[in-house]
Amino acid sequence: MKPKKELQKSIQKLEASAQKIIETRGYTDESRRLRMLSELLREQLKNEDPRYSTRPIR
Amino acid sequence: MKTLVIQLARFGDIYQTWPSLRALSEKEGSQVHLLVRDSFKAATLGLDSKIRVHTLDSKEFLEPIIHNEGEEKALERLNSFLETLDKESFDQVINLSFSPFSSEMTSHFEARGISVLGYTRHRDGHLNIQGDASAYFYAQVGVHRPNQIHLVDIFAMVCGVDLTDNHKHGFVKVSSEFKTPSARFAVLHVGASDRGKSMSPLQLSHLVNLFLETQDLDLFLIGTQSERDLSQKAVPLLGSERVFDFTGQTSLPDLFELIRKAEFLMGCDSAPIHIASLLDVPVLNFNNKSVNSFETGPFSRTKSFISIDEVTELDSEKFSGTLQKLIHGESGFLNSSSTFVQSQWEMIQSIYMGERYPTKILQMTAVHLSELLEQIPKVYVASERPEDEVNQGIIRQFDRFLERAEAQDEVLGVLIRWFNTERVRIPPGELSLVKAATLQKLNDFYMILTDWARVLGEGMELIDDPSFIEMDLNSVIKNFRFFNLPAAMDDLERLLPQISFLSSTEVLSQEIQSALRIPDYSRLADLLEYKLKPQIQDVHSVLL
Repeated sequence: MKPKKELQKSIQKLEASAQKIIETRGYTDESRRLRMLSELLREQLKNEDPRYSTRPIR
Repeated sequence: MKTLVIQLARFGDIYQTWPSLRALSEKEGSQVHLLVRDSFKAATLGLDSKIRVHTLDSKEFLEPIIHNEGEEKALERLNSFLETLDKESFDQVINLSFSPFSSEMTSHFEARGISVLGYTRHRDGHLNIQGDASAYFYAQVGVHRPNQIHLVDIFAMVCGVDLTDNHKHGFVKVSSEFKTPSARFAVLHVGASDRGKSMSPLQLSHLVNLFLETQDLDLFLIGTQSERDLSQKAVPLLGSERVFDFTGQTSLPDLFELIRKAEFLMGCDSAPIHIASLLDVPVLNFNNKSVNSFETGPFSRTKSFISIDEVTELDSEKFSGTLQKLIHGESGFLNSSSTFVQSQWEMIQSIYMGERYPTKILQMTAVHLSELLEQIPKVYVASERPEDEVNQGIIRQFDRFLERAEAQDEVLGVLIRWFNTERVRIPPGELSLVKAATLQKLNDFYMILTDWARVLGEGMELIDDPSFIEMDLNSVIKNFRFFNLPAAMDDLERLLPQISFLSSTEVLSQEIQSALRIPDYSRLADLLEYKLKPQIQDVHSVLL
């Protein structure tokens, strides 16, 4: 099991990969799925609280 | 029409989705599917069987990442999950989760030509808020926001359905063998969805004692295994044979059975108040500042509310009176507390429902409003040529002003959040189109502000703003303590007229004058810090 710091690194890596794809090929299925994984990981860091709805999510 | 409803939030939100699911499934030729997290699937127990439930297990996708097996494997699993849903060939996807993850998932369906509602993503990956109800949620819903529309009704608005009592309190098919030790009882949920929203053992035991003193019913305590420590701490203080502790001992069907048979349920913000609401059992809800009960409170036809902070001060007469009304089908009103909070709700009603604008405002709001009316025409001109560096500076300054005003000024904040949400809703596109849409939103904002200013001009009432005064007061105290006397005297002169609403101003003013005559600036700072400041803080806490 990865410690919190490692999970944060994984989130950053996934987001960076997604961003790279968006910049070169647009918001594709691939970038969308990378972002889905990073968001799922982020929810784990927040004790699986999926309703942080007021966070600016743009 | 085959519809997928995405509800990836927790138990309470799933129960609050039931009425919309029922209404959607009633439409002719409608097939309703629901996607929930695997860990909260139990909240679909008892839901009409024609609604098909899918589950999302985040562990399955995340395991490969967490165990260093690589992202590819995680992506493979996610792909396979999405493909399974794609095979259902939904006509419509409604996202009721309002989370970043769910917006990405909804955009997956939108990219396949499926009509979607709720949060999704624009083609450049930015948030896309589909529908006015979702925009309302984005702008105004959440704890510490002045929304007074229940989540059940907001979900229905997003789904585009009208709810009846049958949708809210329809038949729930859950059976249990649980044998209740008595026939006439009330249920008390000892915990809450998190500990910040629950009662302390002392509050619990006080409440139970009041119940035993004023009611002839038995009392069944319910809660999860992790909440058992609360009841275990409270129960020994009671020593009554009329209290039965079932915390950690009931399955979900047992809970439905217990609540269904109860005369009423008492509880903080958590799933049992929503289960009781679905069963239309009267609810006495205990709330605090971590909860917006207008939004997520009970939706039974009969309900009443008491603040958790007031529980230990409750006497048997008041408690008994509240329960008597509840038992006889009379709801209590949820206190919208102060004029200040009421003005925020009036602002929501004016923007979204065409009601009259609030006329009781803070002095600060009047100042901000006039600043905005002066700034917007300049920002409008700057927005016509946003590529110009000087204009970019004007727009940035305007955005900073909005950010500051929203944080400080909660009445105007409602309007600023509406405007910001409308700007977020502008889709990506050619610069000319984005520019035109931005100018249109600015114009709308300006028209609303002008209209409000006109109404205020016909008659407004200023509410004293203790938080504003407190900030000034801190600066005066600091200046006196550090003998920065010219600034301190100026500030004090400005401050004194603002505290005329305090009952003890006259006495305090005399003491201040006396300290000034000596002059004893340390004494003066002490008077302001230890006599005036607590009074202002008291008023502030009452207002908020």
